[in-house]
Amino acid sequence: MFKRRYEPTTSGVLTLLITVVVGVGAVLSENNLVFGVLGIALGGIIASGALSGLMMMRCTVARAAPDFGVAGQPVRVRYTVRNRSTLVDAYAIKIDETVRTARGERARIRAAIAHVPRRSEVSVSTTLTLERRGEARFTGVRISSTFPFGLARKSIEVPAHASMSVHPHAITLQRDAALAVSERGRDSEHEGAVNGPEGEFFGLRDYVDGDSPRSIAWKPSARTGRMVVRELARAEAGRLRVVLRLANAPDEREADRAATLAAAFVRAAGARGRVVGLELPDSGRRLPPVASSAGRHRAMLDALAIAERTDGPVRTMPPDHDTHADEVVVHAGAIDPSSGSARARHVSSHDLERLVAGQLPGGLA
Amino acid sequence: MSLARLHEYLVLSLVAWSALLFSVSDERPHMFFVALAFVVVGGVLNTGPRPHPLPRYVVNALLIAASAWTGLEAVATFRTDRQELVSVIAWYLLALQVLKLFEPATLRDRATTVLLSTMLGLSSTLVSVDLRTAMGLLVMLPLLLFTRQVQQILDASRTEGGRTDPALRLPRGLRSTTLALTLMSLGVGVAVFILMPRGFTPRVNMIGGGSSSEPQVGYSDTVALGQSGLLSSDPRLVMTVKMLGEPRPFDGALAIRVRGAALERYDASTGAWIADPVLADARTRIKASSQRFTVPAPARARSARVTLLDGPVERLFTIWQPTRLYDLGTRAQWKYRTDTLSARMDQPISGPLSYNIDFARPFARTESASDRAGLLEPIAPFDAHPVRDIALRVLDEQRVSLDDPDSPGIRDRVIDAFEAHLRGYAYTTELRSPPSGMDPIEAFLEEFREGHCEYFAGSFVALCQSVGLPARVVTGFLVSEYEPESQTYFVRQSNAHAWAEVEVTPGLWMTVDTSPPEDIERVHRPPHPLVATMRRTRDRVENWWANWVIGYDSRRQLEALGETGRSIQQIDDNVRDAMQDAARARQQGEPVLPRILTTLGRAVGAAAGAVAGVLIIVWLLRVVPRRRIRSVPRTAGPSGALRRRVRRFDRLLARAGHARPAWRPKRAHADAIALRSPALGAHAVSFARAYDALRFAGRTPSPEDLAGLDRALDALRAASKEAS
Repeated sequence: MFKRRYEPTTSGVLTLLITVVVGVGAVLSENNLVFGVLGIALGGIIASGALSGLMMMRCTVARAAPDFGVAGQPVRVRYTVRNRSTLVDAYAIKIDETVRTARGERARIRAAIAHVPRRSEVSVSTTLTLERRGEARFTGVRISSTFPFGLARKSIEVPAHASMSVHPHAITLQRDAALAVSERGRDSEHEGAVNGPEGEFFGLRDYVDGDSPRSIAWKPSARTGRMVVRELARAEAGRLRVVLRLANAPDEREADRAATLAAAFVRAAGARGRVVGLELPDSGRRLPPVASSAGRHRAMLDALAIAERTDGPVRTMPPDHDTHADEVVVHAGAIDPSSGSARARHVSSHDLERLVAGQLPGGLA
Repeated sequence: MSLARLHEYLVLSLVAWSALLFSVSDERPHMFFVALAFVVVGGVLNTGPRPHPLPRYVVNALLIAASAWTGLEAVATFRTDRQELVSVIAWYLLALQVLKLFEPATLRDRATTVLLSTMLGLSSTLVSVDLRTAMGLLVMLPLLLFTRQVQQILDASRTEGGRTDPALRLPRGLRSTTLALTLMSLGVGVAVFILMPRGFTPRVNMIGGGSSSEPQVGYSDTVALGQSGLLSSDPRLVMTVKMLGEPRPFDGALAIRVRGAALERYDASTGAWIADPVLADARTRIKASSQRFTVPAPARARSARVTLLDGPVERLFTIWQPTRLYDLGTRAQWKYRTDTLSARMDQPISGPLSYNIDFARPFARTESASDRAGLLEPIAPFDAHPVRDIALRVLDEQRVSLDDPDSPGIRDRVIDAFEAHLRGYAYTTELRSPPSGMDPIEAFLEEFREGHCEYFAGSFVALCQSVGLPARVVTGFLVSEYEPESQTYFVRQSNAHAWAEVEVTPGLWMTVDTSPPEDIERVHRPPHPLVATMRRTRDRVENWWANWVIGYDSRRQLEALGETGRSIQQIDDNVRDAMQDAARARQQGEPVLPRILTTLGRAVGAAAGAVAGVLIIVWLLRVVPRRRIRSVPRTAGPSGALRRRVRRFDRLLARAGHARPAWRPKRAHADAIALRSPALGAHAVSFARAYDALRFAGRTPSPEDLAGLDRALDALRAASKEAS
């Protein structure tokens, strides 16, 4: 249900006051020219209300926003205002929307359209930049106009709720740091498996988030009663498991930095063709390094976007059966060497700047 | 041209137009050129891509100077002349808006400038009610509305830094929108103007009481000899006299004398004829709108409707010998003097003003009944004045003896003698001041021997009063411009005239015009027919304006409303009668309540009927078009049952944080959800498939089909709850 509002502006209140004064003056003086001016002033107010009412009553707005964005980078949001009126054009439309994140961040999106002819629609694009990762919620679009005379602001609120995943900041690791993640994997002699269009049949496994629907083996799924996907075998560069530890992080900032670092590892490994997985022991979530696809990378970045810092005892997860995969544990704050497998290499969120600058910390050297 | 540049030009035009409108309305058109010079300089310096505003301190200094000047002027004029106070404030507004042009040109500043221009335009109506003021406002209205609309578009498209988009162009259709808004505003304005109740207050001449253009020459209530006085060549229409009944006043009378004031006393120190203050204090105060002058009943009487066009109205003009003055379109009080046959308002009121007057045929010399009236004692100040010596010498020359002042016909002989003497004087419109220390009448009679009507009338009255013959100067108009089609005399400023009246017998005054008749005929002759036609055309427009706009009152309102107005009047009269009946019945001890209830019931019933009529019209306007749309055959689309289920589907997904954009098909959206949330997506896909199968099946969905959709929706709801 649309919510409609009609708020007088300062100019409108002033005009109304002047009109009242003119009316009183006309009655007291019986000056008919002042009566005429009073009539025209009232006519202007009524005409303004009627036109803005007709104009906004038949306007609707739709938003097209991407499902995800990256913290610190602009996201293009597109609004389409449709004027269904057969009588009047719409002018001076302001579009206003507030986006909120779970971390309390608020951002306002503003756009304007000068003219929407009757029975047509006009689109406008604008950008939204959120500085922190997390889930951003679009609360609803408000279109308003003070046309024609600025006496009142007529607005319509369209409750178009939607959410957008804001991935951690995209940082570029220097080549050495990126290679430290990828080259060790190449030393491994283990032949991994990854689903994809090429290669021979390798086996079946359970469906996980991000798997392509095309890889679903429908007949075995129907037979077993659970969703399974077909895996094809091919040579791969090696597997990497990124573990993010946010428990007992000193503050939110460090947690964000750790998530940013983990996301950088995921992106760097993915860019070099490695199969990458993600573990979030604090939230009990695991995305094993079994396949490499845009969907899986997206699922991992989504998980990193909403990973929360926790307080209290450190939680552990049962070990992954894939013991051959490389493992990088990213700690928010101080490194806790006890977490992770024996092969794991440890990186702290404090190392973020050094990694960006190309200096390998002890854990990766 | 970009919209921002167009806006600048519009604001400049608005400032210039409002300055022109006010300057002309305030009768100071030269000030417009001063304002225009500032507007041009401001426009050249402070608009365009690289504006050069004046430094802030310079603007502030000018603002302080303007404020100080306004403050001083306001204090000086507050108690004396409120009309002038309005002018002072309006000039201040003009100065402010011109100064604004030299400030940094932000959109907000420009909006303030437009507001100031609007108020300046409004001020024009307070200093003048001329037709040209109204025409100026009419031109200003669309300009103002267009500027405001452009401002709103620019304001909406402002960026975060407050800058307007230079690439923005004038949207199509804005001109027609402006036209529609202008017509709508004017339509409502006219309706309000016609229907707004009038007559709550007397039309007292407060601020805005009419034209500020007080005539410098032309008709005046005093006659100051040696000054400009009544001399005027201004063809401005002062009033119209429409004859009611027979076209001409009386057989053979081509011209009429419109009486203004009767001046009986001469102030020798100033050389001015003035009304007698003693008699003026004895004037009768009356409230009724119709009163009779106590003049002898005429054999034949005529009626005319006088419309005074030039406000403020203070003097009520009469014609020849008025017998009755009535149907005054105002509740303001007025007074009259039965001896001088003159009337005036208690307070000046805003014109125009109309009233009816009955008047008698003027007293003719041949009908003089002055045989038994003799001369009285010389009237001050002429009892010891050089004019008395001149009068005695004239009478001696004309062989009129004053030895027996009570002799029969003495007054006629004296009048004839003085008339004959003045016949040798010349008429001139050149103004000549008397020599220092010499009385103007003496100078006219002895030195100049030429002058205009005031000299002739004033000198004749002075001669009469110096020998004890009661006489007075009458100021008014001598009118001969007559339009037979409308039976109307047109009275102009240039028709202003002065003549004399002599009391030939107690209570009976005779008109004596000693000005040379051929000169008077030349001066007051109607213009060439072509010129007269053009003037009358213009006058007709102004007359219409004066009668139907400026003079629109409760009586005209009832006329304009026609049958409805009469009904309103009838209701009003009925209620009033019923209240009087009730009061009478109460005095007589009869039951009052049933009468009041009956009357009130009728009034309420009539009002309810009117409201019901309006509501029916509104209902028809709202409902009939909608029904027409509904009657159009609908194209094949989803049935209502399917649409309802799709809405529910969308609501459920929106609640789960997966709102479907309007442009995305249901199936594609469900697939997208399945990628992110398989559990929820599976149910969404299930519904979308079932919906598509039914939507394009080419048949009406059966209840079983709909039940299947409902089951899918229930499952989706359960999954969304689980997910949340």
